[in-house]
Amino acid sequence: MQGISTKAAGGLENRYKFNEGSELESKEFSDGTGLDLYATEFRSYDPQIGRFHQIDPLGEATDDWSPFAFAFNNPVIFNDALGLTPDSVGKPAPGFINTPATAPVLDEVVVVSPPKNNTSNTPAVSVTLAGAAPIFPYPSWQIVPKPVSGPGKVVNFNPKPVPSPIGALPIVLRGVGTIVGAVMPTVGGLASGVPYHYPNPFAPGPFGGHGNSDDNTNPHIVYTFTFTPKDNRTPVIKYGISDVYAQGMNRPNSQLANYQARFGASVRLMIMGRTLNRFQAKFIERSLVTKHVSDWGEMPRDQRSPKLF
Amino acid sequence: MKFEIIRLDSVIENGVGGPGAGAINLIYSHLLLKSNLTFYTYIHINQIGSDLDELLIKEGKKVYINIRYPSPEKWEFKSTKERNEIRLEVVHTAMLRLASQDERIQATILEDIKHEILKNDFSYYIVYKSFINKKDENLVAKIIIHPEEKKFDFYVSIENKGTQESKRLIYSGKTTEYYFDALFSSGKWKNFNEFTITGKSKELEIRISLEDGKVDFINLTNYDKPPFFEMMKIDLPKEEKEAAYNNWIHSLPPAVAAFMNKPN
Repeated sequence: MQGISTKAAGGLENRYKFNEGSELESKEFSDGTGLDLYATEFRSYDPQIGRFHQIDPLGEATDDWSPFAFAFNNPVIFNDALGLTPDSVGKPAPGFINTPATAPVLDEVVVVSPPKNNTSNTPAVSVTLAGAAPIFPYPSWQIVPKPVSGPGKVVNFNPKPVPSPIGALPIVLRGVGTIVGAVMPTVGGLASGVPYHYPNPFAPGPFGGHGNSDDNTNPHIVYTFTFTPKDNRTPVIKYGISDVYAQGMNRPNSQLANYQARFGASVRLMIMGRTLNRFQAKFIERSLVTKHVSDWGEMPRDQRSPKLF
Repeated sequence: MKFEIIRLDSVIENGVGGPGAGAINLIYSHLLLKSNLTFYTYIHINQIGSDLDELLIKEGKKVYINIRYPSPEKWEFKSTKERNEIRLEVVHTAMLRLASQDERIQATILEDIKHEILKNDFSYYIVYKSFINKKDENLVAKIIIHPEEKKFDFYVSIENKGTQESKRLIYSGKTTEYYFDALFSSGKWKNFNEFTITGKSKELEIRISLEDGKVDFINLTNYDKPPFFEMMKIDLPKEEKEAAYNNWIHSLPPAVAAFMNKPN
């Protein structure tokens, strides 16, 4: 069974066991040594020190965290398979939260209504891991631990809907919630007349339609090429967007050599941010170009005019 | 449709690129379209110095040309005509180089374009859009752009049976095609005596009365002045420019506004 069982002598080593399948770069050299780093899309993670070796390209999005930190220093709850910052602190990136099978075991808890006269944010009781220290306080809900006699109970972080004794009402409510969630604009959207939607929480995974469609629900990055000009004009060559799932960094990287040939070796690529979908990315790109035209009196040096909506 | 095919740029001191090249970009692009030389939708011409290599890259219907051309001294002290002549020479040289690589582009047509521009002294009135009155097809409203080195002037011309009856200046904007569609993409006749212009930004309506020649600017926003319309104006006083920018930022969704306010 050599080569099949990972436990067999001389068997193939599984290098994709952790961090959502990031590859462990080990034993690449002829003397049996290796880098011993986990290779993510954007950075290399060193498991011995629990840090990335490079800064987070989206570090400004979470500027209260070190750009070298891994998964908010909380590898039990979070992963960082891309080496990018999740959307917001405390909110795991989609698909990166641990599955129920590997979730921490909590004592069984009972959640009751918040006390009416509770004016402080201090919780009466914190949720605790079985036999471990408290992991996070609950700010406004009183949580009372229930004594248990047996082993701890696995808390399902992603509960699946279960059949209800009251018939189709939950399905109807869920449908209504989906519609409301899809059409509810932000305050700013209302103020500006721009349809700026909350993401549909029930949207499917990677977008199946044409990538250039405004309905593309894949996350996008917004990037820019700049260089050091010798005249007193704009240093910005172009603003661009790229579908994270379909092209990711390949799109801007494929343009870099072209720009360096045309504008010199000082051309550099910078990721400005990440958006939830293509519409938002295009909106931001267009806004950046508008600001540029207002400031410099011209579009970025190699910018084609982004289309209006 | 993209109006601007040519983009003249430069990466050297006293280069020919920049906002001042907007007029030659638009004029040359207009004549390329007129001559049916539409094999490329985007031609980026970059004036370089000795530190870069000359090159010609084709990517589908886009082409990028790096061309080394001596940079004149005291560029800012030259007259507008002299500067435009140098810009035209750089564009013409680059286009001849493209013609040598692409047999569909004839050098004789390029020579004709150059001579025509010089003959017209860089003064062109380019029809951006035409709107025919459905009730009377003799009545036509045209939005006309007059590109200059420092500004693009926009006129509305009313023609009856091919004869121009009136021509009114409605806007002086920055030297780029960026805002054309946002401000002037749509036109609508109301009977025989009123013509209305709107754009995709939906910030304002420009109403032209044919009876008294009056031009009214109808602000459709909640701000004192339509922000984008103001931002694209040329030579706006500093205070008004800041006010327009702040209003525009305020009109954006909060997340986008926060993104735009980032230091870099």
